[in-house]
Amino acid sequence: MEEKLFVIAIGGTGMRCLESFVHLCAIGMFDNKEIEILTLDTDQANGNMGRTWNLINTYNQVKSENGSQDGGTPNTNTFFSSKLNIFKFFINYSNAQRNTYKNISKLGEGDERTNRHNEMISDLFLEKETVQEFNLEHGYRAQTHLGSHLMYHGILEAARKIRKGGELGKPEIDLKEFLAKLQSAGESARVFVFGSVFGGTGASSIPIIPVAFREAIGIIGNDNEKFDPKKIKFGSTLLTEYFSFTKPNQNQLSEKKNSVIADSSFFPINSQAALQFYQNDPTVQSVYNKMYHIGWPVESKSLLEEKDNNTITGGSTQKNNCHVLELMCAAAAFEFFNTANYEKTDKIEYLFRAIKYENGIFELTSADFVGSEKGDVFLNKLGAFLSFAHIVLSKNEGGNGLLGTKGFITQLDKNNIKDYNTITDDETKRIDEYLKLFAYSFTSENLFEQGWIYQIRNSILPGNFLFNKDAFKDSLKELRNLDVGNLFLDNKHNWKSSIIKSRYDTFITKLTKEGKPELNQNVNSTKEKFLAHIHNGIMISQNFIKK
Amino acid sequence: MELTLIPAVAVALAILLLAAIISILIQFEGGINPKDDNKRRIVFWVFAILNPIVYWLLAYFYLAPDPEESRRAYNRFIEVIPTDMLIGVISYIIAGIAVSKFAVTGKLGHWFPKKK
Repeated sequence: MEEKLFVIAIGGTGMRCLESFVHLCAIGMFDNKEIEILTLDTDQANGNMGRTWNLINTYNQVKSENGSQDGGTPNTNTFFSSKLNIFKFFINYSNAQRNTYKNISKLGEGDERTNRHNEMISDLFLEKETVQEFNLEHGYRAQTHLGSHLMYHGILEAARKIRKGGELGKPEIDLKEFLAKLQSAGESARVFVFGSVFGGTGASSIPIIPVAFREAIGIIGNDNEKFDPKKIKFGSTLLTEYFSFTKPNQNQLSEKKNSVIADSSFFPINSQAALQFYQNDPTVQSVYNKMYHIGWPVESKSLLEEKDNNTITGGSTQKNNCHVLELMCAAAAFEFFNTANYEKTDKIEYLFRAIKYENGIFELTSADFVGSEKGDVFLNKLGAFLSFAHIVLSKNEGGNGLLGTKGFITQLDKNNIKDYNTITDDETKRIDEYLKLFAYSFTSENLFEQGWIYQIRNSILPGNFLFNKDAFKDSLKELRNLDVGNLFLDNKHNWKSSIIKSRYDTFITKLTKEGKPELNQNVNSTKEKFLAHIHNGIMISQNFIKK
Repeated sequence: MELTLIPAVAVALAILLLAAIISILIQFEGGINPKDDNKRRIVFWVFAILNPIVYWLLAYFYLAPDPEESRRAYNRFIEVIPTDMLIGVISYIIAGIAVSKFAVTGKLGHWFPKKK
């Protein structure tokens, strides 16, 4: 039975984990897979969510044939080898009638007796002046008891709307389609959930998602076909605190809508409480198979660069830099999806891995992410994609606003490889765009902007992140002269050079002579063949696997 | 004539080798409008021009028989130099085309690129 893969990303941290996951797909870690992705949030304008949507959209544009939006097909042993289907569901709290717990619950709208009972029960669990009345547009603000309740309610509310029929909004349509796919996959589904346990939306949702989906599927469809999360393999991250941000000030807290603001100094306590909950909660224990405990063992860095003294609670300005722990979470999903067939048991498995930390620095190896068996595969693929990014962005100056991929195709054309001349400028721009999100770009004012891998590496400084420091240059002059074949710490994986040929020249020679796409790579369109060709040329040059 | 033809072809091939080494030493450039292929073509044709000059200098000052020993032999040698030079140039170009077609996807392929 072929397994179907599902990913659910919840809240700001979940989105950044998904970002890392998508980059793993781009480097080719999920070969020949079709993956259904659901993003789940309450904050429609969240910067992290917008960035992740843009990333997936760009990924799909890279894979699609010109003019199409189908996201291409799964391929083998190449870049962008998985097909990603994105579904976006969010609970709308932007409307004034639904922007606080008090408004949603319609406290005060029933008869006197009902009102009294409703208020008493609400007051028992949720602080009246603050938790019941803060603005929910920016999420649940670390109030997980409220968040779990409202997220569960939001999903069921959408399911009822779907059942009722009539005109549905895009979020409901996406939820309906995602749940239909999940239901049709049945026991062959593997579902991985990304989110933190210390914040708001993710922490609120991870425990209730499987059950909420079961109920929603029950509401939408036939009860006989009910989906049973106990029979499906669910995995999740138990991601504890790893970043901090400015403490909320009194001015900000005095506004009614901001009466509750997450305070990162409480994140360690939140994490501890959450872990106790996950250890003891029977629902979590019965539906989740594997939980990957991921944490940051040293003092958390502030990832936000707030220009004023206010805490950013959400919205478009919440665009935190990526962190190496999010890549760890994506690697956890890789482990979860690649564990050979196993039977679901009643017992939850908690997994973790220790990494080397000496003299105040982390020494990360590829095996720390994906295990020793797959460590070389990961390093090979990530290194190849980083080299590809530097070929396009640095050598061909795509990072500086020129047409980098087009430049490379021109070079192949001049070397009498004319197979890729039909790729349009627009298509090459999409590839450039993706690589900028992956590595770096320069603004129109020539300011350097870190992409994903630079941010990941930055989060672990002064420690090492898999490649030598030259791989992460950030000045235009240095990048123009970068030796794109000299990125690995271990020199045996750097491209060969000779007295008369530079590393890049040797690579081009190998690319033109040996790298042609093969049948078993399942590449169909010209663009897929182009990507496979570059992939092969770099792989041969990196010398991980003897041909 | 046969005796002078061999050095003419040998010089042409030696110069072609030099042109090839210099062409290989020119690195691939990036960007939308790389000029490295033009540079290689220029190298090829510059050496094509240098080839007869080098052969003439070599023939006149080194290979030519001593006129004091045999004026007739000397005159005959001087007479065939232009023909040898022409044969040298033709050999250089034919060998250049052959090398370029053989290394069609390499740097030397830039000497005579395929038409689109």
